[in-house]
Amino acid sequence: MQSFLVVDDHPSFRKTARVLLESEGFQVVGEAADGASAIEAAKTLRPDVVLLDIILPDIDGFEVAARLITNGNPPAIVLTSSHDARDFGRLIHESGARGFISKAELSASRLRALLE
Amino acid sequence: MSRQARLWLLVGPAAVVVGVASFVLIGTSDHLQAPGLQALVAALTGGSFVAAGLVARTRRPENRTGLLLIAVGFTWFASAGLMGSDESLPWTIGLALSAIPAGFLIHLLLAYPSGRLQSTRERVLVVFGYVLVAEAHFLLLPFDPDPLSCADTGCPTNAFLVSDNEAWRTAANAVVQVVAVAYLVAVAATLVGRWKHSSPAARRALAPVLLAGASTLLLFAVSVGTRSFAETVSSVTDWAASVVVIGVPFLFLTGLLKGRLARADISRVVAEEPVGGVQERIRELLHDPTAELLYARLEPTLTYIDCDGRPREPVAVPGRAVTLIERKGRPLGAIVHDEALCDEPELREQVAAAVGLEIEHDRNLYALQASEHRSRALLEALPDKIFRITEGGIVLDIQESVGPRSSVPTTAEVGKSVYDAPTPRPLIERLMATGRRALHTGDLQTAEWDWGDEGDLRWAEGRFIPSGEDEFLVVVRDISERKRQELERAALHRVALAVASEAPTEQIFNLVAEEMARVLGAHTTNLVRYDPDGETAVVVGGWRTPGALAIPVGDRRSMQGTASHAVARTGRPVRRERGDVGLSPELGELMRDLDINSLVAAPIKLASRPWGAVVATLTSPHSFARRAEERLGAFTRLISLALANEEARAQLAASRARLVTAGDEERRRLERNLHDGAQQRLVSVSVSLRLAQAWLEKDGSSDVLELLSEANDELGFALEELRELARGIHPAALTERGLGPALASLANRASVPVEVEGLPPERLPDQVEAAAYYVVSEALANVAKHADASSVTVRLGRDNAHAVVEVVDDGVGGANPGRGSGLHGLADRIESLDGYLHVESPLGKGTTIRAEIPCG
Repeated sequence: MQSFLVVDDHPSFRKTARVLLESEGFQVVGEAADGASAIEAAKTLRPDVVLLDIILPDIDGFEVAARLITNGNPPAIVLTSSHDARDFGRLIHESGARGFISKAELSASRLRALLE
Repeated sequence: MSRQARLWLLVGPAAVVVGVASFVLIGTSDHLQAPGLQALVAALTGGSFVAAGLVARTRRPENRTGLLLIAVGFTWFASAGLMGSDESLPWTIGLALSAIPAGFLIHLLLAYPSGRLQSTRERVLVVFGYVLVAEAHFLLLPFDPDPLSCADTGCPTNAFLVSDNEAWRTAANAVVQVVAVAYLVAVAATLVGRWKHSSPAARRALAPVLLAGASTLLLFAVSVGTRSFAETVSSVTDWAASVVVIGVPFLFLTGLLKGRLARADISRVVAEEPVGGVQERIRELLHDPTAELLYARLEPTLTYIDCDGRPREPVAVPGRAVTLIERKGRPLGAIVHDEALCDEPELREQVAAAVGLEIEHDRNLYALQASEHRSRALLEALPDKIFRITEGGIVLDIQESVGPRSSVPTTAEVGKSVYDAPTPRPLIERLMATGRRALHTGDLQTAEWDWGDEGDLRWAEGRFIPSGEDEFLVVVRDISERKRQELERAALHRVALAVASEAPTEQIFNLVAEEMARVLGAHTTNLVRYDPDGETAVVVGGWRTPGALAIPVGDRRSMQGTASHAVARTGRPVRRERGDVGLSPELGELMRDLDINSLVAAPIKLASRPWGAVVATLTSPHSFARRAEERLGAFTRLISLALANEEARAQLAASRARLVTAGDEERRRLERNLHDGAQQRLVSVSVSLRLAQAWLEKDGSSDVLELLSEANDELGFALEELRELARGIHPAALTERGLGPALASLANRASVPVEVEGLPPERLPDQVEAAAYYVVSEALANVAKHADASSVTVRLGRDNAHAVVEVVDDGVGGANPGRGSGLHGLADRIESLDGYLHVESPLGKGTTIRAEIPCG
């Protein structure tokens, strides 16, 4: 069972994402509301996957991803946003993340497809 | 062949033949005493009449005097010759004819000088005279056997004797003598009458002839009268009459041609006479003190004026005749004179010709003088100096101009070389080269040069025109004013270009300073801008000639006592000279430190408020020209305009930038709100619904109900937030229900208690309501964010066709309208309606935002 860290500044989305992930058999080991606390939580909780919102109040998702990847044994990172992937262009590809799923299209099947 | 020639050919030989026949008959007479002498006297008498008659007829073809003289001559030859005959019949015929010449002579006297009889009385006298002279002897001869009492000397007998009747003879003699004397008296009376009624000019012509004729007739009369008294007396008077009669024709001729004798003097005398005396001289020459000279005026039409300038018509009236004066067909004048002068055409023509010459000469002289006067007046009226200079540079003449613009200094002197003048040599060379170019090309050449001092720049223009083979005229004009205007125009044009090209302000200020220095000839110029405190000013632009001392750009110093301060205080240009009484100590020190001798300054105003000043200076010993400060003032008004344009442009750009920024900010806020609020919630709803669908597919449970309930809640929040957003974009309540409900809604949602006062009962224009709404909205937002207030009062009212909105809070104050886009955006909105937004926010004393919006 893969463990998830959900990072988003909107509580309603974090709650919805947790329900979705857990109903599909994933384990949500923690939540974070901004970039700094996300990095901190990833260090302590050691999740397998970080579901990472791109637009955060402090540092954006790309920066958070870059910092997580520089650590040893980094988690798999799945970027998400209520914006379309086209809004971010090459940044997603160059971020080192497994991929991007828009929030409206978030589902277990899309996650598994990226993580396999 | 002319009439004159024919006359000579006809009369001449006839006279010679008749004269010779007469001479022979008399000379060979046996009964005459001293026949040779008598023949000679008769020949001379008859010959003199014929000759004088021919000359008179030739010179005066239209005059009958000549014919009458010839007639006298011939009848004289005939009667005298026949009376020389020793035969009875010829002698008697000669005697019968002997009185005929007297008849012609009387005709001559009465008709003289025209040869024509003027009155009926004269004609009657002449006819009677002819009858008398023809009939007298025929009345006497039939009764007188010895009519000449010469029978004893052997003269022929009377061929016509009818009867030697002494009684008849005595009676006939008495009748003839009485009639003859009476007749002569009548003739004399007529002549005296004519003399009395004659003009002086006519008397002059009559005098010699009447004298001679009258004396001759007197002798005849005596001869006739003495016949019966004493033979000796008769003989003596006959001889005397004969001798006198020889001279008579010449007196007639002289009288007739007398005008010619004065001819030689006329031209000379008239030419020497002054114009005013010409008329007097004409009177003298014509012997007519009534003669008048009229002058012809050709413009606008031919008219005549007399010597006193009165208009006159040159027309003949009874007793007055007119002789026109013309030269080459051009009327010059007219002489109105006595009619009698018509008999002296040559005199009239000669005088007219001489006077014509004189008038023409005078006219030309007057025309020349008038032309010279006009030229001189023209030259004197011109604001120019005129030099006449030879090709070699010698000054021949200098015409100094009069008037205010004649300020170009004259350094050259008449009779000296221009190269000796204290003028810079290169300038002299250049001007002389221009003059020579004018001489060689024959065309007008021009040159300009400056001659002023620093601080008082002046210019002159010379126009070079050839005025002879080796000399030219230089017309020098002071063109300083025009050059200054040209310079100013050019300077302002450059400034305007710089402003239009949106050059940096500092660069524009420096350019303005340089252009003003150029126009004024200043050593330094500074632009200073007053600081808001009114105490100090900063130099924002400057220019200086190399070596001149100046306050550097960027330097900020106290205005106390300076020219800038005086300008700021008075709002007028000022001028200061070193050593001025009343110079402030600060300025005196500054002028000493910077070696300033003369200083002018003028205000720069922006929207009628003092903005700063321009200050131009000159070092010792130079001084600015008169009114330089005013010219500076005129210049700075244009600078003000450029600055106002610049500021207006800057304000416009800033306003636009704020609008764009505000718009951007608004869009960002909307986008953020959408992203953070409604979008997130809808995303959650979307995910939840998909999850619920998945669970329903597996097996429905209470979890699904809970999920659906949450999704429903989220949808509710989302809808609420969308309503809020919509309200933020535009307050629907305002549109639908008016300012009162919209403000009440704002007050309800405000973070502090808000009291709304003075809501208008009627609806206001849409844009006014919107502006008022946003003023309150923004003010309440600011209160919530910054004011830390406990209450807010919103007041609405009307003032002078303005809607007034005031939002007063009791917060911490210290709001800065220049910071933050909210109030700026609000100001833009209000000002776009020609309104006015005022923010008062002293620290610790709350904030008052007041908007006045024009509304109908």
